Amino acid sequence: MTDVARLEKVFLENLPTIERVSHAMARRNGVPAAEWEDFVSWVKLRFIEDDYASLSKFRGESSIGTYLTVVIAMLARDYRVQHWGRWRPTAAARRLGDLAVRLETHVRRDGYRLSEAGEILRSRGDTSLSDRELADLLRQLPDRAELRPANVGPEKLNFVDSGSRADHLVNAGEQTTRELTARRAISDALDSLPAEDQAILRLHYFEGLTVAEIARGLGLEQKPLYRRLGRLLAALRKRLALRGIRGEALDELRAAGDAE
Amino acid sequence: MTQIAPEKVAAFLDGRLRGKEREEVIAALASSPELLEDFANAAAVLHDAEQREHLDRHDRRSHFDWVVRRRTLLTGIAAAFVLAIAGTWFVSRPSLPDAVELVATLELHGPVNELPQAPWEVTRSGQVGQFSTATAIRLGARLVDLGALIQVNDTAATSAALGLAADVSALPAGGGASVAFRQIATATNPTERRDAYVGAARMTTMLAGDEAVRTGAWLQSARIATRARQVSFFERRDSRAVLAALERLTDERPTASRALTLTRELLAATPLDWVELEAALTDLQRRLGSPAVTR
Repeated sequence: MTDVARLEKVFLENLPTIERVSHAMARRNGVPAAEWEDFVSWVKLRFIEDDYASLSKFRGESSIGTYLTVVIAMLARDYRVQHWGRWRPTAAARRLGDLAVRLETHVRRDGYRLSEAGEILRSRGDTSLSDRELADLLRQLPDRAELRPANVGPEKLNFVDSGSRADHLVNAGEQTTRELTARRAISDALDSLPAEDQAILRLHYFEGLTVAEIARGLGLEQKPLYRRLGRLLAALRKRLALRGIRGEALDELRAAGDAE
Repeated sequence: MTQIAPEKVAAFLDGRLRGKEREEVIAALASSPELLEDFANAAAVLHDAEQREHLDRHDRRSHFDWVVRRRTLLTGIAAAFVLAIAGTWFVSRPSLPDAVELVATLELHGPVNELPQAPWEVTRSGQVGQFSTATAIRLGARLVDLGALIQVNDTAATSAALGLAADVSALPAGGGASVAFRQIATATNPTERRDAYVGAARMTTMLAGDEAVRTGAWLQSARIATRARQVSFFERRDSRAVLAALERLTDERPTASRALTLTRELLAATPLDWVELEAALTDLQRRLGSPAVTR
């Protein structure tokens, strides 16, 4: 059997895993449901191209399922950057579930108004929540600047900014400066910690992973990890306090979830 | 993005790396946001898949248990039949359902906008530490509310879970239940949330007074079922056990006893008078869940 034929066999044997993991990865990365199949096809093509190059690199140091999961996670980031630039759903949205991710995607990435996003979600059967309830959900997600221009129709011109807009912008500017200072301080404080402690805190705060997921990922026991996380946070807050940063800055960053 | 090969990261996730190799991956995770993101996504997807597998195994085991239970039940029925013929009168006492079982029987559709309001006038603080039957009744009701919110994927479940986490931490040995409630608040998918709920609700029921918590849960479920005009809820086989438990709880409280008598009469009526029944259940719940009345 030639090498390519052997790799093709590996690919076909693991196709159900590739498809299952690709769907899960699409959901985690906020790919709209309508694009999931496209994403899965795109992933399969990436595996096939260059005579199954990514499969040929597999040496058996890990299980094939875990290897495929890691490769697909990396491919998903490439896909996201190719299609939407650096945009990605916040950790807060991922914590709140699929609906929050989809709502955030429509409003924050695509620039739809809340009522339009609500209409899209309801017509697809993604939710039966009213605009008011969706607004409550959206309020739990952090504000952030759009990363690329959004296409807007002429109807946008019907909306005139109120006089408070200038004040809002000034306040937003001050808040951004405060956030930047806090982020720098947090980043410095994190850098001074041992690598594993850094990884734990970054996975929890910036990637929004639960303690169970961190324990699974880093191969640590879950129960002691709660206490360890608590201790690390206390130490981090202490370091931040020495630099005049209040502890709530950490919570704000957690809400933003995409600090770095 | 990083110098670490995907297979190395996968080996790390499989727990196959030790010593220097492990440290290298951890150092790379701490220094590369892209690798950290990929790692986080891979870890979360693997964790999710393992949880699902675990649940599937649990379901298969539950099916097996059901078969065994059914056989045991048939044997029990046969034995009861023989005893009846021998002239022995045997009364079986079905166990009280807990919040998890009760929520599963409720017919909940769409968002739970209007869960029945708590009828008691007590604040959360100062009541839980001072443990009482009334506290347990209230906890039972809140467990049902949380279960209903989780079942319909309502975002209000997060704050409800955090509220319960704070309250149960005041119970003796309530730390584990409190952690489980916090897991509900931070869960990233419905399966994980439901799984954590089952654990948290059952721990709380054990810790806070089994019978009173279950009775509180039944009262709240009954109010929800009444609002939804769900006749099937009141046709459950365990209703007799619930009424017996209510009788024990109201034994030394004349006003609650009167409320229970009225509730019994309304439950026996055909067809059910939903408006009156809701009022009676609310009144009974208020009397049992308010410390001033129960002591």
